[in-house]
Amino acid sequence: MDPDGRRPGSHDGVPVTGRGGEVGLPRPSRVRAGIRAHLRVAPQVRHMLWAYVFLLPALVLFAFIVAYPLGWAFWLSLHDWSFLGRKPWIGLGNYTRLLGDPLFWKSLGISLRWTLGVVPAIIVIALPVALFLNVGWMRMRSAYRTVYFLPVVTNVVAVAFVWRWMFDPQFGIINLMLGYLDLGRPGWLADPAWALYAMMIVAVWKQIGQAMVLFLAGLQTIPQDFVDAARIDGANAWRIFWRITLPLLNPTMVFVAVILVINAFRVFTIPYVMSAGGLQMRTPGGPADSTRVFVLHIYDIGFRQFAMGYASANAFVLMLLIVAVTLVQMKVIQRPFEY
Amino acid sequence: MRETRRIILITLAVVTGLAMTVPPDRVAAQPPITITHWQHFHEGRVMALGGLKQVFERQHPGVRIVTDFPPYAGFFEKMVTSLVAGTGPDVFQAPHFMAEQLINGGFLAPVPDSVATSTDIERTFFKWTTERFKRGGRHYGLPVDVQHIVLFINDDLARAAGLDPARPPATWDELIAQARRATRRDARGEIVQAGLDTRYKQAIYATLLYQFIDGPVVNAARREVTYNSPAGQDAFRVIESLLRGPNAVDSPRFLPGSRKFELKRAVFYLNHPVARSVIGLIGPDIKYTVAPVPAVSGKPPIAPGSHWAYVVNAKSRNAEMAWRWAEFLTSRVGMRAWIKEAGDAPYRMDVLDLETNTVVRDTLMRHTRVTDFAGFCYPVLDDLVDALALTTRPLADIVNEAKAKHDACVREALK
Repeated sequence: MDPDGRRPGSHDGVPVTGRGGEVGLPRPSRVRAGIRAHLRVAPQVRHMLWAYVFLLPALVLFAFIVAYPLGWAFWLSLHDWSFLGRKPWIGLGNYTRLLGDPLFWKSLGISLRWTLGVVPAIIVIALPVALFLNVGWMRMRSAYRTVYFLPVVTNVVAVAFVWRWMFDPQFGIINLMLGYLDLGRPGWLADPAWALYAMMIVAVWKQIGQAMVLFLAGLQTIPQDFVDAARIDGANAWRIFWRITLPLLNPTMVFVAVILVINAFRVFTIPYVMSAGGLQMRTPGGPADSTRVFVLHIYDIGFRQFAMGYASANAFVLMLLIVAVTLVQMKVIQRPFEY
Repeated sequence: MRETRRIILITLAVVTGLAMTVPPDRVAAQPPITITHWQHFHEGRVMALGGLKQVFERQHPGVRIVTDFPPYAGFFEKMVTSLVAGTGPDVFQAPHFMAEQLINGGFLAPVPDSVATSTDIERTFFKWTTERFKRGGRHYGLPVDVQHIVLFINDDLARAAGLDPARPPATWDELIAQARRATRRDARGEIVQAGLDTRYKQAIYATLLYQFIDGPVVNAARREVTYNSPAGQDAFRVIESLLRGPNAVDSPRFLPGSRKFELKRAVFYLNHPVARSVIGLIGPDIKYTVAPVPAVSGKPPIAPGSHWAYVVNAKSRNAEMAWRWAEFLTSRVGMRAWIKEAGDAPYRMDVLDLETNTVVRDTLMRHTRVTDFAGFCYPVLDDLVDALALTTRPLADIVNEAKAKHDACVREALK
């Protein structure tokens, strides 16, 4: 063996490993080894390459069903396309147009009211329900959890129709009960002052179960040791909740809040079905545009007025708005901690 | 082995011989032609179309008609998106207010002369039902669902209110007075019987606008609506009288979205003659009178007309057969079915005698004026009526806001 670890007679320059290895291999294997040595990549890079190989199907799917339509929609938003006509390029014309469109501001305001009303209401109701259903001694917990979750899996269109009947100003069960209690008889869906609130009630009822399940999952990850230690230290239930449960539930809270806000900005089906319901004689977003949430506004421009370029610009603004609100939420609510 | 081979050969010879005896038209059977047909759902017309489809398929062996009836509310988006995507049906109905968009966009195939010449079409149908689908001397549609507005009166409810259905209101003032008399309220003051079923808002505002405004309601040249004029505001003032305040004759709070007239909860009702089939289905025991629309005092009872047309997709692979199907639907045979089963008004000049109701026939022949609505923009006017009924905002503000929305929609439609 020479000082470089090569055996005499070895011509391939492969160092001797002392464990056999490439030394004395037949010719084809030596060639392969040479290629490997030539194309040698760091193990981390190789792992990353493999990761991308496994990710490829999902990435291709994502490119086709998300990235491509997104790019296409942005491209459309730079055109004055009336769907059935030509597609002239107008640059940012659609974006400047929406700044002066009173319906854009009105629908944006309605969506903000929806979000500010629905999201806190769901959290405020779902969290106590989750705490209640997380109590160990409670009987029939699974049954209650199912009951609360049932609205989530019920078809939203069917639900909206049933609620519409319940909200009937003269013959609906809600006004019947309010009448017994002498609490007045709002016009609900037939009254611009009440229609949005009626729909928000349905949205809250529909999503409580989803938030509750997430909170339940979050509650079950909180170590019992912390609670036990606090009890030994003399903390009461409220202090345990305020000082231990709520802070440790922060990741779940952030997740729930972000999901609910995104859902709230994207709401469509409930206002659509409850304001028009496929009925020929009624206009989605009514009465008198009082329930024209932002996605309904986009739908109206795109699929009723067929101004697809302008609708795309509105859709893009909505996307940017959701991204911005989500980032702000994460910055404001998220608290770093370890346990 | 030899025996087996002989049996196989004999069998093959027999099979070949039998095959040769089959008539050539069976051997080379034509693949069936499928014509897809879309039209918005309407109870009476679905039944009528079912019967017509069977007759046509019997007359044309090898042709299969596949129908789809999307609800009215979703019909437009389904139609337009499928056309843009190049996947639309062979035959579909298109409203007159979208004729320009569809023809200019190159989405429609013209009627071939082999099916009907322009002269045939113009001789057969009322002129106003074919003009909008004509471009460059060629027709791109055959009229269907030709409608005008008439006044329906529930005879029993009218008599119970002390009214005589044989003497219907001739003017808007009379209608308002009679409807107020027929409106019933409960102890809380809430309407339990509407004097006038106002759910088909378009029937009311279109009738009023075309009676009050001398000239176009949609000025296509200037791409704007004209109803913010004093005459237009007068028209909406009538709606204000009908729907606002303690003397309102109907309310959006009362059975919202329901068919009040068919449920015997309304005395008067403005709608198309085709509403007869729905009244027959939902309230078969309702005795009703069909009267001309009320008029502005001293003026003729102009009834706004509208129509659709059967059109053929420019991308249809069976355009000729598709047009034959459309032509059949608008033929005398088709017309008879629409009138008898769907309650439609006649619109072929050679079948006017099939319409037994003289009011429907006379209005169609003498007083109908086709609307000049452009694009799918009329929901703006539905919103306007809602705002009049449900808010206390000044009429002029509501009208001006609607005009701004409507102008934007018209500009989009007439690009």
